[in-house]
Amino acid sequence: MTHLAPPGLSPLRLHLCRLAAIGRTVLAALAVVLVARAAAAAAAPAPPVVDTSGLPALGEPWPALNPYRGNALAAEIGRVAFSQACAGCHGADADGSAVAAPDLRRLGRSCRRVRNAELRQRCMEDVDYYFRKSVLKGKTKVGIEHMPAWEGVLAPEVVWAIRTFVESRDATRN
Amino acid sequence: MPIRTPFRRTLLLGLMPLLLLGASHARAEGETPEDGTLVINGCPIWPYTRCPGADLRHAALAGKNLAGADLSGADLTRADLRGANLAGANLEGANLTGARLHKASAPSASFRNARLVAADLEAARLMRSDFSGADLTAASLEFARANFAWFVGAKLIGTNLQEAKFVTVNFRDAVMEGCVTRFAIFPDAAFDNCRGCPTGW
Repeated sequence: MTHLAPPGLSPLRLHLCRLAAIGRTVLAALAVVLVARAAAAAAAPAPPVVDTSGLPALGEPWPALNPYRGNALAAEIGRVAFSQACAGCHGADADGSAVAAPDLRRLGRSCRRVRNAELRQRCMEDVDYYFRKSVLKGKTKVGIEHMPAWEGVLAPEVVWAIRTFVESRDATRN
Repeated sequence: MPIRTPFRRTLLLGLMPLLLLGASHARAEGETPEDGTLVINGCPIWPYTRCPGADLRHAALAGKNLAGADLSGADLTRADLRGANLAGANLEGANLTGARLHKASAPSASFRNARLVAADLEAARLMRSDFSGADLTAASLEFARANFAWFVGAKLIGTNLQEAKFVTVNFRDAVMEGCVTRFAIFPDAAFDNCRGCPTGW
């Protein structure tokens, strides 16, 4: 690249100016890359590596109720996904009794005392919706991100498999 | 004791209908007798319930578990939520005029842009909850624990703030006027652009 040297500038000083300019550009580029990587790390969590081919594929829109409820294969796939993606905060094997995040095994317990079948189904839909929304949107309270958003990271099959696994871990279920 | 005397027999027969009626506890409107599930104006009362815009005026919800409930835009005028569990509940834009929330547990709940005029939140647990844009005119937050809560742009006019704990609370753009702040504490609170916020913290 050629620059028109300002009058009175010696060739040596010109070279030093060029080097300084290149150095600044490199530093600026590095800073941009580092900030972008940091932002990316905070925004999108790493997806768990899990094989859902054995489960019925789910398309849009999301079903209101967990379509894999009671499915043992889904529970096993969910276990693998949970241990990679969720156990860090929600506890190993979904045992959230002594961890920072809420114990997910409690979800849906209040629905059990509902005797009316239609109402109980609505109750389960509310719980499944809350679970799905929490997973997809994450939890940010008064500006602090407590749980990352998994939208675009977890496929519907994985989300429902995790839900099925968590349900299977509730020892109070009959 | 056999009912020998005519007087005792008459008394028992006379009281029988009353005894049968009063056998169970007083039932709230809409309650399903066999399992106690409460549904008020189409809104089931259970955790994570979705009742945006529901009409819950004067609702008897004391001690009820509404954790994670979506009550955004609901009308809870004069509702009884004493000691209710509202952890993580969404009450954005809800109308809580004159509602009773004393000893309610509402950590991480959202009351954004809610109307809490003359609401009673005495001794309520409000840690990490969001009151941004809320109207707390004439409300009582006496001894409320609101650590880390947000009151950005909130209106606190004539509010009772005695003994309230506002540790690391965000009062940016809030309006505070005519409040009772005796024994209220504001350590590490943010008062940028607040009108009438206390000084010396």
